[in-house]
Parts: sequence; structure tokens; C-alpha cells
Amino acid sequence: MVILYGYPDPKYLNLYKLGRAIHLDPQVREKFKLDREAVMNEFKLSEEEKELVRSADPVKLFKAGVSPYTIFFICWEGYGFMQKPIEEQMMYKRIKETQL
Amino acid sequence: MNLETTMVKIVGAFATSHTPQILVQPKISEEFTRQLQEVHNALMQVGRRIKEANADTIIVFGSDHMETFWLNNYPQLLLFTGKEVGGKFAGYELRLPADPELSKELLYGLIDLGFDVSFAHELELDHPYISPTYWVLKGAQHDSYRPRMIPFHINSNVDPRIKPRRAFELGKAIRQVLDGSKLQNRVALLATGGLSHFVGTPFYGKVDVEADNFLIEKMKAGKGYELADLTTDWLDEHGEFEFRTWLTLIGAVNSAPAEIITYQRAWHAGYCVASFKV
Repeated sequence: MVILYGYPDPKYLNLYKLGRAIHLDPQVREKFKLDREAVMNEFKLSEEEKELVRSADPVKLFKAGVSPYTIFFICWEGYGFMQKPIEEQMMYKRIKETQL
Repeated sequence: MNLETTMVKIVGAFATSHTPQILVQPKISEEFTRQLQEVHNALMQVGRRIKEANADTIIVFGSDHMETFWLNNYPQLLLFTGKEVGGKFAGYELRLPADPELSKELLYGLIDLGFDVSFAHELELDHPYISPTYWVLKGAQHDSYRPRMIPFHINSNVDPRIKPRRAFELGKAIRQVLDGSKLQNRVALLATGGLSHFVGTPFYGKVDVEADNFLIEKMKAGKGYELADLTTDWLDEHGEFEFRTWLTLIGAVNSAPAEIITYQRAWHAGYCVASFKV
């Protein structure tokens, strides 16, 4: 069974809220770039969620069970991966499937 | 069906990718910029065809990614029934008249046919609708031609999701409602999403060209109905999960053969713009 876009685990609800705000609200997006800790506190992230965000590691976030869209909002929009060189964005070239 | 009684006429049917990059246009390589330009040209061609067909209303089958909808109420199927369509994305604001008369008829008709579709009079749309329609409207010379738009959300992105077969059957039901309508309306259909991509996952950057070609060849041959048998697993495994919106359109056009206006194998997605011979 290969489900990549799975059920959004409710334990990450605040993380999802942060991701959505980064996507929808330019002010949150800018503040996230300037002071991540303050924004994470504002969104009441748990310590586990904060560690995931601090990692800026899409693979780690995915393995933890975070929705891929939240990963995209946080890493590609919040951390600005979308403007990075293509090779740096191509996750699958940087990891081995056995790591998943 | 007595054709003489059919007042709603489908005058065009198209499908397209809808990535954020279509509108954001990150300058990260000359090749990608060129590929996006090809996609823009294809979408503007879709706009010109819609205008030439003099469509009154465009029904857009899209799929939200927890942007328009949120986890306080996440719909499987949702039809927009309001008076005006709107949304902002990447610095662009979409505002178009909607078609509450036709959407209400669709809503009631689909429920009669067993599809328990949610509805909303107000929505803030995001890139699944805005990225491609920005270029479609540009091609249709938006200022002088103001089609109405009805967004139709088909959940392809947040599990559990509508089954591929159900998406296809929904399209057939939409066609049945339109064919039975007495409204005077020329309708264009536009499905958005896909093709192969793995956004937000560790497979991002992989594009399953073989899977894209498989879908494309079936559509070109007018055998889209065979694709309704694809499974949720297959769609995820090949990055084709958004093909559900295309399946709805294929159902609505009775698997009419497709013409591929462009296919671009970009670094992160198989970009495809198609026109169906209705």
C-alpha cells in the first residue's frame, strides 16, 4: 500500500495551522523568516513540532507523519526552498528510498 | 435523450496542471523558464478557444490542499453556488462573476443522482484555480470577455479521498444534469491538477513520465473510461493523485479523445495541457 498523501494526524493540528498561515498570510511568512521561535510560540507548537520545524528537513517531517502540504508551506514557502537551485529542491535525489 | 430539448451545451473541455510555479515563476533555470512559457502559451490557447466557443460559464474541477478548506470541515465534494468567485495567490487577485442559477441546478441534480455534494456561497480560492485560470483568462482577453466561473472541489489531496471510479461517475452525473437542463447556457469544462509529481514528499523532483504517457495515450485514444479502474494506491505511487479531477472531466465528456496541447517534463512535475474533442 502506497499512500503518500495520508490522513492528517490531529496531533499536529497547530503545525498545520502554522503552515497554512505561512502560505496565506504574507505577514506570518515574513515573521517566520525573521523570528521563527516567536511564531512557533504564537501558534502554540509542542516541543516535538518545534523540533520538526527547526530541522527544516522535509524527509524528517514526512517520516513523522506531517501532511506533505504543510511540509511544502513550511519548507518551500517559509524557508524559501522554492527559490533554491533545482538540485537542492529535488528531495528524491538526496535520499535513498530505504531511508523511508 | 432528446437532443432538441438540451439547452446547456458543452462547447469546450480542457485539462491542465495547476502548480504554484505556473504563477510564481521562480527563476531557477533557463530550461524551467522555457517550459513554463510553453505551459503559459498552451493555457492562453485554451483561453482563446473558450472565448471563440463563446462559453458563458466555465466549470472548473479543482482540488484543495488545506488552503481554501480547513480541518474544521474538510469536504470530499463541494460545489460553489455563490454569485462571485474570488481568491488571491502570488500577488494576483481573481474576481469573476459566478453562475448561481446553473450551480444550484447542478447541486440539486447531483443530489438526486446520489452524489451528496456540499455547497458554499463564499470561498477564497487558491492556486489550484488561480494558477491556471490567470493564463486562461489572459488568453481569453479577460477585460473584454468575462465568462462566469463555477469552481467544483474534488478531494484528491487529503486522505481519505474520493475513489477514482467515483470521480469518473461524478463526471457522468454532471453530464446527465447538464443534458437535462432547460437553462440556456454554453459551458466549458476545465480540470486542474497533475500530472505526475510528488510535492512535499521525499520523492519531490521525481516525475513518472511512463505513468504520464500511459494516461496521455489512453486519453488520446478516447479510452479515458479505462482509467476509472485505477486505484488510490496506483495514483499515489505514480504521483498521479490529482488525476481525479481529470477523471471527472473525462466522465463528463463521455471519454472524448484528447489532443495534447503541450506536455513538459519539468524538474518537479509532468506539465500537461489537454483539449478534449467535444
